[in-house]
Amino acid sequence: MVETILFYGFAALILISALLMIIAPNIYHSALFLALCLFGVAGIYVVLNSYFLAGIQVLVYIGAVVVLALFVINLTRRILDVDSDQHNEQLLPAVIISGLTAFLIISAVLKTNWGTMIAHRVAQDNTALTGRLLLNEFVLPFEIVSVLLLAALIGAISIVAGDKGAQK
Amino acid sequence: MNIALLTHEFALAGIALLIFILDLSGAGKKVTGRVFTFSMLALLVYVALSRKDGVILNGAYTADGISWFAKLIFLSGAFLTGMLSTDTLKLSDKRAGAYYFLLASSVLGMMFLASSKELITLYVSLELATISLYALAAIYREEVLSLEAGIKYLILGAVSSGILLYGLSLVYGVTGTTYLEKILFYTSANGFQPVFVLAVIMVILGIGFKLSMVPMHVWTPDVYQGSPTPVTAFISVASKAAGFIFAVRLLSYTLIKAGFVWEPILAVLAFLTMTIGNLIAIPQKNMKRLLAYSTISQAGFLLVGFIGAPVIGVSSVMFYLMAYTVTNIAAFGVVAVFEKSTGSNEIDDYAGLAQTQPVLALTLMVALLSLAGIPPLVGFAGKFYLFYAAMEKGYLWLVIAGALNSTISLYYYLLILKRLYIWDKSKTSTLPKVHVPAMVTAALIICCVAMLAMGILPGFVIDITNAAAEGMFRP
Repeated sequence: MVETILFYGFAALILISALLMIIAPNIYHSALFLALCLFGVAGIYVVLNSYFLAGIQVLVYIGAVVVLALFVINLTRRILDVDSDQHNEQLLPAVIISGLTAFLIISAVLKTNWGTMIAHRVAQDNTALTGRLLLNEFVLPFEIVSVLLLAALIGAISIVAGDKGAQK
Repeated sequence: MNIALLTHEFALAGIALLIFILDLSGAGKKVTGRVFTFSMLALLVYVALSRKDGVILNGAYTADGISWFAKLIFLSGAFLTGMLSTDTLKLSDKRAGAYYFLLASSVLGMMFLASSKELITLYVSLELATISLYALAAIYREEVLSLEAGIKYLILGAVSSGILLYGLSLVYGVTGTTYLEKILFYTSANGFQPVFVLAVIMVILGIGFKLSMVPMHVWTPDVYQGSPTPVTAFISVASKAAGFIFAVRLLSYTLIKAGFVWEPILAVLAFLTMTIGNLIAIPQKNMKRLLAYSTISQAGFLLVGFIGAPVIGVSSVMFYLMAYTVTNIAAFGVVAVFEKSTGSNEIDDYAGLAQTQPVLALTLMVALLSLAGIPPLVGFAGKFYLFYAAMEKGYLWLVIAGALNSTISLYYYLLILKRLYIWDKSKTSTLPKVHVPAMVTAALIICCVAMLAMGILPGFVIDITNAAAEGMFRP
């Protein structure tokens, strides 16, 4: 019972803050609403007993992604000006496409017989299990991700870093 | 766990680190370029000679015929791209190391992708392959077009991978497993669920970005025009091949029970991709943009074969991907040396190339005619096989549309060739003077020989792809 109330509470939080993020006139407020939305997702993870995932969600998405976005906003000139409009003229097509997508998702979810497919509630302490899975069954993607981070680092540096003493 | 199956990937990761170390120790771009190119060649030969089949990690990683052949495609693409890059790149020594490292890491992602039969591994390796390409597209950071290409590629790529991920998580949500074998087992045992329709549509849209399939094709011309030409060549062949391998694993194999959903969708999209790509290609004035639209239409042809009968469909797609790799790299190779010498990509500036560089003009002609599907070049055999696969499934209308589209594409390829060979001597005062470096010459010779050899004797390669496709569907 408590779980159900918590679930719907967090779901409402996610939906409302996501909507406010889209329609907020100031991009700084949008970023803050995004943080609230991601916090709601972390709440859902807690309801599902995934404490580790919830922690990571807060650390990575709110702690890193949103803070990075706030830095970018603060470092970009003119973006906070009153006359800089963050909405473009594609409002109608965007609403139509989003509406159709939402209709498709909702109708597919309602028609599907979820029956036994509803996610089993994970055991209480799944942090140890997650770690074990990452180094056993999922060791390959785990290793690929480390190469991916290296490639992303080198790519970013090669575009940004200075070209001192280079021949042209 | 038989770790020996991962030898090829370990070797490639070693090459990437070697380039990194060479770069740190101050080797110039010529050295890193040659080391990259020749180690790709060595690895290509090694992979070709040492095929090992097997399964590790509960089936998450599988080495089979499909993965083996796909690795050959990726490595030939990387090897030929390396040959084009060494002498045509406008990079400082300092950033050349990063360039070759990113090429190597992209190939590494593709090689993992070819072998993975588990959703998380598939997705992560696809990201490794594409994230390296985002940086490569923007590596000419002094040029506005290159930066624009990188940003567009990054943003649209991120959106499409979000859509793809949504589709994959729906598949996981329904089946409760990320292993392709178990998903296949689930769909056979439990039947079809409506939510699969949603998952399939999202997977098609997400993968459609990598294939530059209509309606996810809008990034293609800008990215192809702005990226360094060797990178464009690599994106057009290897990245597209990776997308098709992903689609083969996920749609042709795992979600074959949902075929009645994705087949008609892909049939319509194949038709649109061919037609829209071809029609927009006709008025193009820039060579790289024209080739971009031509690769969109080529993706349409590949989709025609993709929806064909299971075994022949997969086999024809694999064959055409190999054919397309050598053909498109030849075309982009000519563009790369032309751009290096004249600084231009306008088709009008190609006028009279046949007089100053008859062999280069001939190479471009061979490549374009192969793209158009003229016998005895490999493009003909490949397209014929793709259409044959679709006919086996009874898609007559699509095959007719494909044949008509081949004719349209011939029209704009011939317009280019006309400029090369017939030009108005009163208007064109200076003929283009093009210097062709030795490495590019070698690459173009390899491509032309491959186009002719596979075009005249397609049977050898088709036997291999057939065996690979049958091996995948055998229980």
